[in-house]
Amino acid sequence: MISSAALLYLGLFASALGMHKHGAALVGKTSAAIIQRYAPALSWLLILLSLGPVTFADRPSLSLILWVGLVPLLAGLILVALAWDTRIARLAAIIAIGALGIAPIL
Amino acid sequence: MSAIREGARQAMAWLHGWTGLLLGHVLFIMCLAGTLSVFKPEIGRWMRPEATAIAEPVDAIAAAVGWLEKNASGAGGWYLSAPDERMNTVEAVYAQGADYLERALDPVTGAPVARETLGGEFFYRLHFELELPYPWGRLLASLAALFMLVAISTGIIAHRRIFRDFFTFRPRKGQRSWLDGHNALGVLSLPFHIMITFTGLLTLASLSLPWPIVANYGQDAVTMYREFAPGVVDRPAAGKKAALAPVTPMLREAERYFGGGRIGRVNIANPGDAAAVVTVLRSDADQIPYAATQISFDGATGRTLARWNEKRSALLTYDVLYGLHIVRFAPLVTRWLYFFGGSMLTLAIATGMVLWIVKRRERAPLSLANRALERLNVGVLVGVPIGLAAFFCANRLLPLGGMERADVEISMALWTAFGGLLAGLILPPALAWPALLGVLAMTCLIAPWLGGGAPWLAAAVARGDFLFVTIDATLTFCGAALALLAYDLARRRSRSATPIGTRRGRAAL
Repeated sequence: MISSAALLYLGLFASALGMHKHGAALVGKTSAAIIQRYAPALSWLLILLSLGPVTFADRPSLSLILWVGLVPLLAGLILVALAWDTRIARLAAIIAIGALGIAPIL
Repeated sequence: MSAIREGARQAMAWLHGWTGLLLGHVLFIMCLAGTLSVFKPEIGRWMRPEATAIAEPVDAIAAAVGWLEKNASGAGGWYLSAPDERMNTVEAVYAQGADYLERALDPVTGAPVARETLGGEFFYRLHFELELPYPWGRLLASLAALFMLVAISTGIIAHRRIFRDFFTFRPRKGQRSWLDGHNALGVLSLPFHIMITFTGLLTLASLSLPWPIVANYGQDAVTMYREFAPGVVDRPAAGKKAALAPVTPMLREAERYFGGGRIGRVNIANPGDAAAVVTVLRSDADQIPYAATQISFDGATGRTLARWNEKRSALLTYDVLYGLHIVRFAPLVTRWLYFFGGSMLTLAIATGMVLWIVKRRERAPLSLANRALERLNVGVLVGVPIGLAAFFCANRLLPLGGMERADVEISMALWTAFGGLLAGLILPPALAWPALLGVLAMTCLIAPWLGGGAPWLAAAVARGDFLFVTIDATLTFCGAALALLAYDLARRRSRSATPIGTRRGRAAL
């Protein structure tokens, strides 16, 4: 489930990046202009990919419930970061990428 | 076309506001109690710190039956819940005279534990019975859930920018912040809100929508229950005494039938009678569907009478939806996510109630009705949580034994909540909000330390049980967050009360 959570977070992060008013706050105006073209498609792709580990889990029904429960938690983290300190969202994105790297070992 | 769409949206916004407002306070209590019920067994353990014995479910049920045979032999039925990794005692319900008693039984001796309390069961019952007599509490809860479903559906249509504002929250901007907060709490967890409301409504469907049952069965409830649960044998007492056969072989046979699944509940009808029936239901923790597998035995001989594994798609669907609501299947992380989703729903209701007032106050002076609602908001949104926190404190402060302890705990919680409600109604809201939030914070902060909390905490940690740490930490975290909120509100109140010439830092507000 770690890889699923990481992919879901990155998908939601990309979704926020793709939004006009949030993209610049997260990565600066210049980077946002470039990223925003691809962010929506990337966001949906990552969110769909996050369902992959759920499908192949031992008990997919339980994993799907867990996945649905993770959405407000991870989206809430981005919302809080955007309201108070965007570094939290960027740091969490880095952690998510790291988690994707170590998930196969775990 | 867009004018029609805008008109429809406004109509939905109107309906969203009124459905939320009319039963908003009831919904707040239901959601708060429901959220706490996610950890019903854990709260039960926290509230019985002396009960530390652990036993296998089969041995614990056998011990409980042994005690009940000696002490509750005249009861018409014993309803037992087996212990598991979340709850170490046997939860027993049995008749004594005209009353039904609920007791936690020691898993080794089978006797009731010293600290008589309803534990998490109080929150569970409050969630859908609202401390009202049957069937009125359940009917009100059912109606409130229906209103909730309407409020959610209309809220989705009324929300103009549901995806564009997905991550938007603008703090310290008055009405805008309340609206952002309400939207975020509602939208981020929308699938959970829809699921929990719909499944909740379904759990009470036989009360709120009784007509299909009446059309099919009329007044014949016995046939209905027999068809709904063919694994349960319902037969009248024979009036001839007969000792109950040893339950352990029956429970072992049930475990074999469950294919390695654990036993969850054991219902013994007509104990001590020749027509006694022992029904064993599989643990709800093993699967999402609720009580889908069961086996019944003849109490006097131990012979198998009926066995049933639910495969009928309609009933299995119902069992799955029921199971999704009561969340007994969930592992720890999922339970916390349910808790988080439930908290978001509770806060969405609370922010919606506050938003109703904030919105109207920014337009014009409040009407008399809205001023009453503003005070009622403080009384319910803070007073009721104070009552629930007082339940934890009462558990630690009341002496053991000697009275109807569990009832006194509940009375203390309800009277405290009533006091909070009254204070909210009497005090001006600008004073009542910080004052009552401060009381709530204090109650949460002291609950873990009352009545010798520290030694229990240390003993639990020493035996590798981190439940006490988790609940104490959660109470402390909530208390600290509420204290900060109360302090912030009090600071803002004192600033706004300072004469204009001496105000400092007003621009920062």
